[in-house]
Amino acid sequence: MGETQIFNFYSSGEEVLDAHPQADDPDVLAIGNGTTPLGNPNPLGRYAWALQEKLKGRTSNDWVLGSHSGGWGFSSAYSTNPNFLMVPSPSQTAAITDAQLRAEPFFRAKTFQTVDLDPALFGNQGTQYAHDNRAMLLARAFPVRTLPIGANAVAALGSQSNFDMNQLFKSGWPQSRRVEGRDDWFHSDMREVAYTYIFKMFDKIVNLGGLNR
Amino acid sequence: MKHHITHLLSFAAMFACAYTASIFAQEHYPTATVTIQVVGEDGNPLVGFNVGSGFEIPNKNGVGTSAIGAQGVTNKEGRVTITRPTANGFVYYGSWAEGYYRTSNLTYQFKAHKDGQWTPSNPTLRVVLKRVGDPVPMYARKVATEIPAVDQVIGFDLMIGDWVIPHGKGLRGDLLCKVVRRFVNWKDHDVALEITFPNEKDGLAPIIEKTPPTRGSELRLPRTAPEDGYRNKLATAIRRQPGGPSNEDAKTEMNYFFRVRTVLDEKGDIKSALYGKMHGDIRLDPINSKTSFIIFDSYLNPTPNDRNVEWDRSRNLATGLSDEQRPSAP
Repeated sequence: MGETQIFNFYSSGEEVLDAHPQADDPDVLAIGNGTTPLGNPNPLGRYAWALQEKLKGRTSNDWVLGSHSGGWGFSSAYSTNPNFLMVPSPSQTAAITDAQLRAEPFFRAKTFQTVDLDPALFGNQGTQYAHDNRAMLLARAFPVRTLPIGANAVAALGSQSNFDMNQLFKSGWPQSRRVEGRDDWFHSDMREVAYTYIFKMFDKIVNLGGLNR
Repeated sequence: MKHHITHLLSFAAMFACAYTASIFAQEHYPTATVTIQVVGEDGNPLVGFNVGSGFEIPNKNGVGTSAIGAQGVTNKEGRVTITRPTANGFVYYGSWAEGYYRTSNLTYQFKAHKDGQWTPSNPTLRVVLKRVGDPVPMYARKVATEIPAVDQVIGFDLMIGDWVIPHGKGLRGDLLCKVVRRFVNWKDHDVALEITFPNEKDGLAPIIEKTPPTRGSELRLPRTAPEDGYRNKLATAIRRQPGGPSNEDAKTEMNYFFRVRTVLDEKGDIKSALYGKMHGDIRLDPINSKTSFIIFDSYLNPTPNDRNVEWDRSRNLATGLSDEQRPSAP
């Protein structure tokens, strides 16, 4: 990166990148019970990023949220119910042997056996396929285990290179956004909110980058 | 097994179609009913006060959320009941009135809905409004300054907002800072700061406030600093080992009152002292420095023995501050 400096402009008021507060281990059946992401009548908006990650490998398609390959989908070989796909308990999974896992990984690259987007991953050229499709596999099949940069500080950058726009750069806030009892800096508010209210953020970028010289 | 999984697939596909269709028909969201009760710090209801609430729906462009806003005025029990549709069960609420500090960005998350209603139905959401008391002028500033040297005790002047001469323009070392640094790179370091005080009975009194700074009342801490509970030494550190996560002692919920420039009488009682507060914890940033940055928000009341730490935002005694150095909370 040479002399490049990295700064993180994030918002603790983010809704799209907000941490999803509900259970981390909804089973597949819970999709329909109204308490989990897909039970929500419209999951887009708040929690969209977290739901995308939590649902990798747990949906039957790749349409809106989640994916049907990799992720948190587990192999039916380890289902505790012979008639239905049921995730084993931690103590049951601890009893799985290494030999079993080598023959049948616990987290499969596919959850639903009838549809598999990446059969080449298991063929003779699997390594090459993984190499050639690294970005796609990361996006679709590997869920993250940490919260996103856009709503959180990055410790590796140090406090002086992390800027919480929600705390630091609001200069008043539009009345239309305040009357509902809130004034959080939401997703894309650097574009959505008028310059009058967010000019401090642009000033910071100008000063950091020496763009006014 | 395959047979059953096929059933599951069918169910999931059917459901996915249903919910995808709902994305394009945003008018049918479950409704949420909440009762917002506004009370004073004594717990008594506040009548005729403004209440605002926001119920989230997704933006039509598919990214982010908008709010269906609703306002009301509290009744004789300090309550307003509001019903609105919400897509995700997420509710914002707050209250404001002249003579009180605004309380905003409080949130409630419904977890489930049934028959078109979010449950539990009609929870009571409490808002505490704090009255504007007797705010005073203070030296209020957000400090983010590089510690001039490692392995040395260097004083920081809270009134002037700088390190003491010769490292800065400060005249009195209110905080005595010593940083010890082991720094290989951003993935491998261990940097510790010890803060001590020059006078007996000077010190920091920690106070926990779990509500995040962007939530709740503008007035974050009690109006008056305590008479005792001050500790003469504070140690804090930030560290990281290769392959591990960064770990810092600073906590988001931590705040402090402080007492400095303490003068004792012959009996050892306090004759004179200055009081103040710090919003948030004292943080370190060794990554962007050859020593370390020290970062904290400081409010100092210059009137001796006045423990009032409610800041009058129209009267900041600290001058020449940039936007970034100017606190907004009272």
